[in-house]
Amino acid sequence: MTDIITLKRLTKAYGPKVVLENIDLAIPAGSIVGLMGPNGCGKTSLMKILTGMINDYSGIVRVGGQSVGAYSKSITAYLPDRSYLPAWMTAKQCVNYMADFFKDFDSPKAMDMLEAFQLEPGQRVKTMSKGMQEKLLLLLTMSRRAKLYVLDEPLGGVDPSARQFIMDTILHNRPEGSTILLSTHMIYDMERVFDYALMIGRKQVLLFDSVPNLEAQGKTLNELFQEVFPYVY
Amino acid sequence: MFIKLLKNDFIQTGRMYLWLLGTGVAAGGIGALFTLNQQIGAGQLFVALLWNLLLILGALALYVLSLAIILVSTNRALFTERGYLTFALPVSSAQMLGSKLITNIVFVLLSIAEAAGLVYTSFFNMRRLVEKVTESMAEQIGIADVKDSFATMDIGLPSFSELMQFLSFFLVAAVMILVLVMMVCLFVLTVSHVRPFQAKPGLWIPVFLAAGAAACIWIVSEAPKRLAEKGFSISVTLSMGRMFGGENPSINMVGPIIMLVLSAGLFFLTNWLLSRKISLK
Repeated sequence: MTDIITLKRLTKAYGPKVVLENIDLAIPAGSIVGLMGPNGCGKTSLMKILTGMINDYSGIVRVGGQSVGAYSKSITAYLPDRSYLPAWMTAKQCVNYMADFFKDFDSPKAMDMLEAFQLEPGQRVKTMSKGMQEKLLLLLTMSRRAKLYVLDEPLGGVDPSARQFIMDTILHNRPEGSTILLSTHMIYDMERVFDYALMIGRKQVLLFDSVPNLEAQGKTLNELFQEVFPYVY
Repeated sequence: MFIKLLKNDFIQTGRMYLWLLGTGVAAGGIGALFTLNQQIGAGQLFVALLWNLLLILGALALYVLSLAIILVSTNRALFTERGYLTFALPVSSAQMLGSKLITNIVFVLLSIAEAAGLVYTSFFNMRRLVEKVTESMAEQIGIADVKDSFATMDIGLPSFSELMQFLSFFLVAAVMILVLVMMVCLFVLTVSHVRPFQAKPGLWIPVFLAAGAAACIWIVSEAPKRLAEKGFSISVTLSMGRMFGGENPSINMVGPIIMLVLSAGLFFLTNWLLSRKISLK
């Protein structure tokens, strides 16, 4: 199995504060990887580095065998933790925009999903509620037949019913052989879905292993998380 | 992919420009309507003259606003939340920058052309209006001196060949200057979002713009002299032929060559910053 993500000596600092230091990591293609860690540990920074939103880092980062650039972006679908769509665009215009730039974007699927999500194609982003915008972003991301999906806290701040809906959307629309890197704090809900668990904190990768291997130790991901990141009063 | 980027940049920047260009056309149209009115009273005449005078100020505002729109739209597309969309596109930073450069130049050229048209229309209208002013009306609205001044002004339409000559002259000069102005703007916006300055780009953008403009003016004006002192005397003149039946304007190409070199340097530097030093918040 080839690696979709390769990191060598990756270091990222915000001024004097180092969040990731000399990280070496290889994530195999075709897996669902849960990225976990406490707030501020560098999960979002890692995702932003992989998707080209952060460029001031040191070390080697390869996605699909190449440095982050036009090619890696063409095979990566990124769902950030914020809405980035121009307010004046309608849902249909957003679909057309993505179809214009990404060869792997499936427009008919996106239109079907718009209907399934009960979003009006003619509705402008600025008139959509936060939840509607999140749905639109999710469908734009999952309408791609990407090799790598980088999903930053897609389950954050939503009710259990919406959480199930989002997870179903992600899992049902994921192309075969693709990789999903998903950051979350909802470990209990997600551990059945993950193939690999990646825990980062204290500037390092503290744990990266397949979920079956971890389960063989007789511990749940939730228990392992609490072991790796003990709460200090 | 570059063409798609260009197309979408035109649509997005065009949205902000449309109202500006539309307002200019509407204001010019109103000015022309006053002129077409054959029966015009003293009060209307005063308003019409004032309106056309304001059009000249409006033309200046049009140019300033077009530069402001460039800064706002580029900043929004690259360095706000929208940057998450722009930077996720499968294009290189050089393509991103090139597309912004071309789009911005085209729209500023359009606004300059419209501003020039407004100034020309305004003078043309005022002369027509002044012709309609009788001596008593001129006394009544206090424009006797203005009437005399306009009577001596020669404002007419140039011939087609003269217009083409002027436009080609204007385009060569304007594009060369605009490439540099746009590159300074793009460089300043980018450097203002590099980590040490990222927290307060609103503070740094005007500071860097002033510094960048001063540095460019100094380099463009001083470099030829310094080069000549060191024995590198360059003398390339592009003559534009006789225009408007009088002057024979020509461009000394040393300045534009220096501008192009500066613009290319700024392009590479900005591209390097975008691909190596920019982190979206």
